[in-house]
Amino acid sequence: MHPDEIALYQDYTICMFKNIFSTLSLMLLPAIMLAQQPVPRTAEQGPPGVIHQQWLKNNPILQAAVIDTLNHRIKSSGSLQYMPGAAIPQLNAVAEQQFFNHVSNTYGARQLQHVKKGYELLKDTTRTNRYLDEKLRGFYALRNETNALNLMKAGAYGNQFKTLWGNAFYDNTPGAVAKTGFSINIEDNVVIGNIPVNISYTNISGVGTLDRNMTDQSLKKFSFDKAAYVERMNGYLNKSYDLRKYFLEDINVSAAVKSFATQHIENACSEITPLLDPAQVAQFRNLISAEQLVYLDSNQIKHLLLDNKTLQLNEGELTGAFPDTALTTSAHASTVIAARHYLSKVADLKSMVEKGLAAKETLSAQHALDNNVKQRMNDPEAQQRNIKELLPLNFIQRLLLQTKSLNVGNIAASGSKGGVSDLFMSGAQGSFLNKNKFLMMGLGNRNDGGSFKDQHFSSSLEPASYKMQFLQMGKGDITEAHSHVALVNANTSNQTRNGFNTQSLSRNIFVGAFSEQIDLGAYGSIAAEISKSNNEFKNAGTGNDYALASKTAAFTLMNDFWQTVSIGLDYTGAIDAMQLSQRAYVSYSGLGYSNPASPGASRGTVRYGLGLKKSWNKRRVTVGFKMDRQDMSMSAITDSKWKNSQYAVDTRIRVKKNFSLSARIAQSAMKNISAHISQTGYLNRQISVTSQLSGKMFDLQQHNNITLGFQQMDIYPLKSLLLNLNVNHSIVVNTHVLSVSMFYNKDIKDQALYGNLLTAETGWSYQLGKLFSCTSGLTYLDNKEVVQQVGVKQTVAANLFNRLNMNLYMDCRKNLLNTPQNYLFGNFSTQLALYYLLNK
Amino acid sequence: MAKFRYLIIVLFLFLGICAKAQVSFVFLPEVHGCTLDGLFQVRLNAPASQKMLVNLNITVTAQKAGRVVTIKTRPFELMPGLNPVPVGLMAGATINFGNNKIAAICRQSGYFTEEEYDYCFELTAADNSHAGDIIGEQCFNYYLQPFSPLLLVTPAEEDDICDKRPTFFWQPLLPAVPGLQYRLILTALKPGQAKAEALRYNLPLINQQFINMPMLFFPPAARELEEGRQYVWQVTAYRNEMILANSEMWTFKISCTDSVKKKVPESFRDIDDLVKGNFYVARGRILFAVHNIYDKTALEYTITCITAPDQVIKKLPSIKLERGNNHVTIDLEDNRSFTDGYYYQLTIKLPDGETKQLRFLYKKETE
Repeated sequence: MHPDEIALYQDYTICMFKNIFSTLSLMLLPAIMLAQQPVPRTAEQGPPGVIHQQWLKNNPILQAAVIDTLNHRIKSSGSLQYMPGAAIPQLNAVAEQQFFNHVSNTYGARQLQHVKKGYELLKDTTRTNRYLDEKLRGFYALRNETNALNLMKAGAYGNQFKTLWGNAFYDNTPGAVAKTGFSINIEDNVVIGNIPVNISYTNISGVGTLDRNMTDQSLKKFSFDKAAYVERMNGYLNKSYDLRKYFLEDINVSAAVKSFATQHIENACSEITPLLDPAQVAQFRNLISAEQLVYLDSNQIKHLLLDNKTLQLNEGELTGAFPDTALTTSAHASTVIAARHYLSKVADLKSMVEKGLAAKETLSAQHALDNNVKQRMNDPEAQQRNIKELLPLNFIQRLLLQTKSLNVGNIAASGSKGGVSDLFMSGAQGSFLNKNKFLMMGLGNRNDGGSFKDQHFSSSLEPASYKMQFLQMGKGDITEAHSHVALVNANTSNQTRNGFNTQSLSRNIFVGAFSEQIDLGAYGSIAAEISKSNNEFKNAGTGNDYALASKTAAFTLMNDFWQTVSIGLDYTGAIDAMQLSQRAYVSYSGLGYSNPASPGASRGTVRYGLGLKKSWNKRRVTVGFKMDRQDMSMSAITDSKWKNSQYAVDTRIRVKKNFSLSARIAQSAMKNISAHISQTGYLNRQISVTSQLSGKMFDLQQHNNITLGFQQMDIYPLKSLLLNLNVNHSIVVNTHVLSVSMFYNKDIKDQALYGNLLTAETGWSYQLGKLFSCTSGLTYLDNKEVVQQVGVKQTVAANLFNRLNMNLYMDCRKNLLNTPQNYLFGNFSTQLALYYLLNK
Repeated sequence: MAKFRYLIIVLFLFLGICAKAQVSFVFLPEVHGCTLDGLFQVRLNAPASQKMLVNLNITVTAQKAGRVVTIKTRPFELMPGLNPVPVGLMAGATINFGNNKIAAICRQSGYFTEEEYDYCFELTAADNSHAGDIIGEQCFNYYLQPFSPLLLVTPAEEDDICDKRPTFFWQPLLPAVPGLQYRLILTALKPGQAKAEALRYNLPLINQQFINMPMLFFPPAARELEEGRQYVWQVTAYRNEMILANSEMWTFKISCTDSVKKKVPESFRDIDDLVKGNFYVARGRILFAVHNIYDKTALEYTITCITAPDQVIKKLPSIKLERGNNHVTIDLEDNRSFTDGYYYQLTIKLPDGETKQLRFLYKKETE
């Protein structure tokens, strides 16, 4: 090819760029309008997204292929007809109109009108380019005659009842909180505007054992079902668009680039054939491949030529130090001329391929894409990105794509330890993740007491009711490496609920916390927390200043710093190669620390501990060690403290495949240390050995489990020593199981009320008809000088009509001996559970 | 009955301290003296025949550190007889803290720390004619020790246990005040459910009160726990109807299948195919299929070690062959004669007299 032709190609290439961008810039106008919307975009900067966006933008081959296909609405053949030099087709009037119609129908006519009028708004080129990519590729990938908006409208609303639970019990144990209890639970799934919400309603009621009062409590929970939401949207997406086409997987660009390059190298060789002998021609033809042309620089290509032994060229000959006239005479001279011509052709070709076809990028992008397309279609995070790019979503629908969870009602709320932890409240909590930025917020009322389980309590030493608002935000997801700030604001509230009095002195508490989690890769992770609380009573003053104030705790957060700060460091990890897992932690909290959003938070303690678990010999032997120490200071002015320690060593040995032994040695102690006294208030030492054996005996499959334990329990001034033995044995006889179990506890020192308890029971499981599977058994109980009982036990389970599951349990005993000291052993206990599957 | 006895003893004890005023106070410093809010658990015994408008002033003084706090209420009506502090009175109270370390902790946490305290209650008339007159005054002296934390012991947090009727242990709340008892609650934890929700949404499996010792045997009449399920439990220390402390919520799982290891389903290939192939890896056992056209009999076989030919292999399990197709498993895992990574040769003499030889590499079964 003549150099002029090549120059022409380059001109074409530039021209083609201008053409396509002028065509496309008109089409992308709706994009600007849509892009003006507050579009929350998550993680679109991820590698696959970037590749796709830049690819189409920079790549004339793809542009030509896409536009050509759209113009003819023909199915792509998977190979490309386009060659550089040919003008890139523009969208014809019909296709352009179709594209406008698509944008208008799917994303709204108003947007399109604005677009046509607001041409001057075209300023933000990055946005327009990205939009162009997304929408044009979307239009290209559109399946015939399906409109995402219509699909979404059709399926926007729905309701499906899922399950209905019913539970009831009666238990006449003298010390049971409730004698009877009923609970009903309905699970429903509602779809509003394509947003699936799980609704759970529970009513729990019952009569107390002592007061005979009926307690009735209703609990409701509405939770946004994220997984179902993404699945639903992805369904629409796949119905409307062919995602493989959206990622341009159907166009094989690299093959086109290669064939173009190969053909032009071949042309260059043909031009120099007359100057060379056939052997040399063969050398030239095999000198570089299409890939080498793309990836090697011109110097490297030159060296390929110089290194060829048949051609015997040297550097000076190629760089033009010889005058041309002196060369023309010899055969070598023609080789040099041919080589020079070849090099110049290759250089031109290379420049065209690189600039005009973006060949390097194209080849590496396609390589990356081949690995990425599948992931981009199946990975939940990528699915969310596709949904956002292609489906017409309103503001709420967009927001929900970044929502991790959203719960309203009687809910448990959790964030990081120094902020919100294990909180139960009636209110709302939501957490969101966008571009690796995390936000969690919530508000609600914490009410302890007054619930079904606490029906016999009427007050509490601590304030039991708070109104609170909380927030946690920062970099990184809460379950992974992150740096977060958490804030909690709480005010006590006074009310009486279900007979539970939550009267307290009015106060405002503010907690500010910082949490950092560092990922150590294979070695685990470290979590660090620092949390500071501040409490301000209403109408309060200090010292001789009798002016009363109700300060806002947030404004005086740094008051009494060391007394109200809580700091913790926690490391967990595992070394797989050593079959070792470990945890170590240390924490401090001031005596004045109080965080109502974290009911389990400790005050005035120094805690530290260690946990190790190691296995040997392919987990035949496992040993675990655990130590927890906790010093809780009692006094603001002296060193008095409760000193607590817990140690435990657990060992398990698999002697044989069907036989294992385990042992546990543990001690826990609480000491009272002060200026006056140093006394062990509680000491519990335990040693127990368990064997588990299964196998065939007398041709019957049997399973045996025996635990023997000694336990020293000193609760000042009582000192007891307990011996306990627990034996469980079951035998499989055809389809039946015979089980025998026995538990015996003896207080060797005869000190504890619990002493000398023997319980024994047998069970026989069988099938009754086709529906019912039952277990019947006999029971015996002897608690020395307190109670003696003998009785029967029955369970019935059935699955009726494939929808209704029924489970009945009954334990009925006759008292041979009963005394007023008995508060543990009733003689009638029954439970009925019904589970109905409303929709399969 | 025992609880009332304590109440009466305490009542008499403190009645004697101060008898100058008409109104007396019922107050249990070992419990109510622990927190600022607890002070309002005081009961006022007014012998007067008619109701009065009064103010309640409470002053707590630490012997070593001085005045800790003074609380004044708004005026309220005192009825004849035993009065609890009226609902709503606390919210409007004014508080003045002392200038010492004990007061600082109290101001932040609402808790009194270890010290000897004088809890003084004073009732003053609030009606116009007698405003300011003291109509009741009483002090209670008590050496207060704050409660220890209420800590659970076993089943340990997130532990897997095999006992379907576990015994629960926790550490007692110290110091032991008269009338202190425990309540234990246990419920199932559904998959994905938060602990705090499980305790409120699910019907409790155990909700036992009046427990005097820091332990509870699994109630014999209750249904045993189920394999593979998770449970959550919590202990509350209380006195009469007042919650003193809650423990953390701990979970555990019933998991008994640990030692009965799941066998990975594997295919039984025909012994002829195995023999043709030159390499077989026995992971703890040898599996093969063999057809027996004769009556049922014991399989005759021997195994020799190729890597260490001197090794004597003993205690091979006896295998019975049924008529027809047999799936044979020779379990070698618990046999000490086999060493991980050694080569062995299995020689089988089939009932028809044919002999087959299979070379194999022994690998210990990985878990």
